[in-house]
Amino acid sequence: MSEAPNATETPSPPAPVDGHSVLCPLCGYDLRGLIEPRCPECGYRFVWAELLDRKLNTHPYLFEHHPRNNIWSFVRTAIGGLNPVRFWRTLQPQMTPRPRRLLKYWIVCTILPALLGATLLAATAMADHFYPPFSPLTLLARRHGWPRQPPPQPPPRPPLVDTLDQLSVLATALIFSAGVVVAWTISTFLALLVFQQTMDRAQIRRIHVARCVGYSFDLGL
Amino acid sequence: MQIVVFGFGLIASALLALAAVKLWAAYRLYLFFNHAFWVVLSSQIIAFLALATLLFNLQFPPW
Repeated sequence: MSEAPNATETPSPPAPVDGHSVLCPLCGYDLRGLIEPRCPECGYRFVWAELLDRKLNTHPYLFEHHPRNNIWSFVRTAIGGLNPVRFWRTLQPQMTPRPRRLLKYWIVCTILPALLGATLLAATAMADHFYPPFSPLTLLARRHGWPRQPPPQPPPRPPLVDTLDQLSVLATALIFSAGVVVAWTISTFLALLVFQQTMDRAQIRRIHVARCVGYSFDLGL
Repeated sequence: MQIVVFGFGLIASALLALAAVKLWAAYRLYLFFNHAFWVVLSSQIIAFLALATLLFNLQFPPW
């Protein structure tokens, strides 16, 4: 862990705010009584005024912090994540994490391509209902040269079936990709938790690791 | 068909690289890690090995 770039030497707060403890936003260590604005547990440097000012605890557009403007905040968060340097500079650890909102954001990002793929597959299935000789299994078997004997000549293929056949390949690929993204994201999160356990100075809370992984792997969009 | 697979592989690789860059930025600028690059790189290697092992065992079950 290193130091926050904007950390300056500021005096310790005179007393606990509203009778609550002042906790380190990264690791939860009680910061009361410290002279230097630096957490002795995880090394996080902060500014007392920023830590105690609750107005600064809300991000300007993050999906976690704007439940009343879901679509606007979702789009802004997705676009903001494309510039990761600016995004992670505006997002501070003291901004209150909301795990459920974070999970919803990631699920929607991941599930959108899978939904698109499922819709395409449903369209293909509807075509199969109207044109049984062109079911996906038959087409797949024929593509791999099975059966060996020449099959009976099917009725002429309408152009729509050709298109839907290609779409079914695309749909399968979309669903498979969504599955890979989900598995990769979970694996990365678990791998980073291993580091969290093995690094003595990185006793950060899991929600911050989840935040990093969640906003980094919103790949479905 | 090969073009579709190649295209998806290319897009998936690019997206994975983008995610790794975003994760590096998060660990460097949000959690203030000094060695964010190595943490992210090793986590991606672990994730890849874990998924490869899982897929291999699904394809060729040991039982």
